[in-house]
Amino acid sequence: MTKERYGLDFGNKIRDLRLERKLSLRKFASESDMDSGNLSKIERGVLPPPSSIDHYGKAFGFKKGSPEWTELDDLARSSLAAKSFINVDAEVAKKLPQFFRTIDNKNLTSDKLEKLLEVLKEI
Amino acid sequence: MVVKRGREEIKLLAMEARRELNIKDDEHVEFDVDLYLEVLGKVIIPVSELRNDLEIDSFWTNGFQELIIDKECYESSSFRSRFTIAHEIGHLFLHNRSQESYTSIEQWQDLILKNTNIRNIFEQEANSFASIFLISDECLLEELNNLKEREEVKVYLNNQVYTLEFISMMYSHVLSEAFHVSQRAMEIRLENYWK
Repeated sequence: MTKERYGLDFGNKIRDLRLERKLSLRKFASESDMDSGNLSKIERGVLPPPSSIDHYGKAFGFKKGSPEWTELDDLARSSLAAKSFINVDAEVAKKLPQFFRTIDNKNLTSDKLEKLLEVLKEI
Repeated sequence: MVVKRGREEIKLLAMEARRELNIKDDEHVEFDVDLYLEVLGKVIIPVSELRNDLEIDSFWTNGFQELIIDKECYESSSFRSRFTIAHEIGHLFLHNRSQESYTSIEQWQDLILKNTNIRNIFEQEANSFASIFLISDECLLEELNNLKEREEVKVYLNNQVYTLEFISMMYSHVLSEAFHVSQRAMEIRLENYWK
């Protein structure tokens, strides 16, 4: 099973910009009214960059048409074009976890482990 | 065989971790605990319904490079989510060398279902670590001193009716707010502090 991934330039830039401002994923998503799960996916190239960078430009306080704005816009376009395919099964094998913080420290059942594998494929 | 670490050893390791993350011994941990991980280059991946569907709050993957966390818990920025992230910082500093590699998914499933005792020890250690990581002795002492300045507490202490230990438990809800942890987590920290 393979999956499409997008270029990471835009995602890396977003991550760098927010960390420069000492904003965690959660805080940046919350302050700019974004979904933290989708933001994480964009940063990792799992979701494509947005067709317009207005929302991000504003969130970072860039003036439209400024060099910073233009750089971000260019990165969004180039990342969208730089698609690649990944082997999902190989990715899941790398992600198999050993420790879990569970509710009330319950142990996992085999059913839950199967479900977890499905979740790992989607990540 | 895995031997559970003692409280003093966990305390040393938690304080070392704080210093490695540039948190002074007498400094309160930032509200956004997740930022410490991101600065270390770790990736946070919020996943919807992890808790509802699988009863899991969080776990590390990809050789401690990616932290998967229940999205609803993460976005709530609740005291529980802070403790969850501190717990995971505990795994990162305590157990990153214990991570086994798997040759197949079947081997992984087998190991997870069988070795529950070892994993329970690791979970308890990560909880103890989180407790000290979020509330250092130095910070706790400072908050206890602040507590002593409250008028009603002064009365209790002056009359020698109650000890500071007893009062700290009475005011655990006040202390829990100061450290942004749940009251239960605060009570456990206090119990260990006074032991």
